[in-house]
Amino acid sequence: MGPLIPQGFVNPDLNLFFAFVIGLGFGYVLEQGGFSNSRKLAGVFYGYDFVVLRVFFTAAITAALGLLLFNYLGWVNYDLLYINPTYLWSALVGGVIMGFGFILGGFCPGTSMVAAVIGKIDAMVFVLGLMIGVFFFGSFYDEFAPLYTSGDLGSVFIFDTLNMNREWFVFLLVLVALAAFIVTRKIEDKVNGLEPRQGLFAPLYVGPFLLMIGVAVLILLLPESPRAKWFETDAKTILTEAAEGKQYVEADELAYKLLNPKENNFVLVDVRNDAAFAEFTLPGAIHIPTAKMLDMGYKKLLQEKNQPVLFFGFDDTDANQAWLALRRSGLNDIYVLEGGLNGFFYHVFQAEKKPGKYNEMQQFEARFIERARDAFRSGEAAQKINKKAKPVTTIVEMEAPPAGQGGC
Amino acid sequence: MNTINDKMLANAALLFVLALVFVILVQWLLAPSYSLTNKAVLEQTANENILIKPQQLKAMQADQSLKAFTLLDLSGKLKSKDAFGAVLTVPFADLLDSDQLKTIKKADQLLVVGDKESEALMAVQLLMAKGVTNITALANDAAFTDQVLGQELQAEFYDAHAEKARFDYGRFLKATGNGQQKAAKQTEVPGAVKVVAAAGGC
Repeated sequence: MGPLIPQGFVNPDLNLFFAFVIGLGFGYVLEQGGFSNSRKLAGVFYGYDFVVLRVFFTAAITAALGLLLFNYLGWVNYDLLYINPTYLWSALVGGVIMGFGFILGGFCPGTSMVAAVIGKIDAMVFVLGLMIGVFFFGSFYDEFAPLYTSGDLGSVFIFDTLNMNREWFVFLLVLVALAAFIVTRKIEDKVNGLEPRQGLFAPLYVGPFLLMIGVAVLILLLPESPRAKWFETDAKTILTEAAEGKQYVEADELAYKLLNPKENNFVLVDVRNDAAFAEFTLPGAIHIPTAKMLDMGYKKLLQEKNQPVLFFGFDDTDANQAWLALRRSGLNDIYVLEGGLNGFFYHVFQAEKKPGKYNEMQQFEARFIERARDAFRSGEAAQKINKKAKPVTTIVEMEAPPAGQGGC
Repeated sequence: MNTINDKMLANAALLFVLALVFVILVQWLLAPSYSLTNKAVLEQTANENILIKPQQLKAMQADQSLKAFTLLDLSGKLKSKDAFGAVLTVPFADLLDSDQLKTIKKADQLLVVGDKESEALMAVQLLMAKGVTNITALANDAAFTDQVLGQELQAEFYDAHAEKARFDYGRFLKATGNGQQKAAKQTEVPGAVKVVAAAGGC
C-alpha cells in the first residue's frame, strides 16, 4: 500500500486485505485487456500485436506522472517510497530466462495466473513450472546467492545515473512512450497487412497523447512542492496573534495544571536539544526539537491528540519558532509557555512578594504559588503524572522488503 | 466496440487529469501568499547562524562592517542607531503592511532587533517566508544591543545573556522519570521507519 500505511491512512493490519482487493482488480483488468491470451502476449515478439509493450509503457508513464503530481499535491511522500535495489547480473540473467519463458510459454508470471484462473490448461502447466522453478531456486538459494546478489548497484535511479533532472527524465520518457505507441501501431499495420488509411492508429488517440504531454509539461513547470499550501495560515493572521501575545500561557496556569492532572489538557512539548531534555523536563512532556517540528509524523502526532499543545524551551525563543512554523502549517490549538522554563521557575520559585496591599485575587494567587512551590519541591506533580503515564502513540515500524520482491 | 472503449478510456483519462489540474488550481487559489516553503524557512531559522551573537556584533562594529547593514528596529527603543548603515523602525504588528514590506525588501542586508529575541526571530521567520533574503536577527533585545554597542563588555556578560538554563531545574522541581528515562525513545524522527514511543500523556 505504498506510503499510505506509514502516513497513517491505512491500518497496517489491513495490508493483506487491500492486497487481495487490488489483486482482484488487477486480475480483472488483465483478463479484460486480453492478457490471458498467450497469442496476444507473444504477439510482441512476432510484430503482429504490441499491446504488451503499450500497456507496460502506459503503466510506467501513468505511474511516474501520477507519483510526481501526487507528491506535489502532498498526497504521497516521494521520499518514503521503497526502491528495490538493482543487482545487475541477476537482473540480466533473470531477464533472459524470463524472456525465454515468455516466448516459449506465451505468458509472464502474472498473466499466467489470470489465464490459469479462467481455465486455460497451458497456463496451468506454466504456473506449475513456475512453482517448480520457485521451489528449486529456494532450495538451492545458497548456490544461487553469489549470482543473485552480484553487481549490487544499490537503489539507483536511471535519471541519477544519467545525471539528469527527475522531471526532465519523466518528460522524455513520455515522449519515448508516445513515439513507441505510434511506431508499434505502424509495424502492426504492416505485419497484419492493413492499409494505412484503415490502420490501427486512430485520430482519437491524439487527445490522450496531448494530455500526457500536457501533464509532463505541467510537471516540468511545477516546483517540487508548492511554496504555500492551501491549508496554511496566512502570515498576517500569525503576525496579529504574535503581536497580541495570544500564543502565551502564563506560568501560573501551567503550575496549576501540573498539580491538577485531571484538569491538565495540555500536551507539553519540550523543544530544547536532546541533552537538555535528557537532563530535565517537565512532568509528562514529550520531546520534539524545534528544527524537527515539521518532520513528517510529529505534526500528525500533535494533531491527532486533539488537545492544546504547549511548547517550552529555556526561554521562549525556540518555542515561538516552533509555534510559528506549526501555526503556519495550519495547527490552531497551540501555545507557548511565556518566558519558557526560566520564566516558569523564576515565577514559581524566586519571584519575591512585592510589599503593599493585596486584593482577594492577588492573595489567592500568592497562596497558590506558595503551595505550588512546596508541591513541586516534594515531587508531587511528578508522582501524579507518572501514575498516569502512558505511551502517546506508536508509529508502526516499517521494514524494507527483502531484495528481489515485486515484479509483474 | 473497440472504438467506444477507446473513447471511454480517453474521456476517463482526460477527466481524471482535468480533475487533478482543477485540484491544483483550487489549492493554489486557497493558499496564502508565501515565497518560501514552511520547511525551508524553519531550516534556515533553526540554524544557529540566524542569530548575530554579541561578540560578533562587537567585532562587526570594530571593523565597520556593521555600516553595510540596515537595522530593522521592531521596538523603536534602540539608541545606538549610528552604528548601522541605515535604520528602519517598524512596529512588530505592522511588519507585513505592504508599504513597510516594500521598504524592507529594498534593504540589501537586514539585521532585526526587537523588544525580545523571540520577537526578532519571529519577524525573521515571517519576512523570509515573504521573500526577504539576507536577513538575520540580533541576539537578545534592543536594550542589550545598546549595551553591547555602547561599551566594552566581558565575555561572561555575553554568556550570562544567552538562552540557556538559569536554574538547576531538577533541584527545584522533582520530575523523576521524565527527561532522562524517556530521552532515548524520544529523539528519533518518526519518518515511518523508526518506532516512536512518545511517552507521557496529560
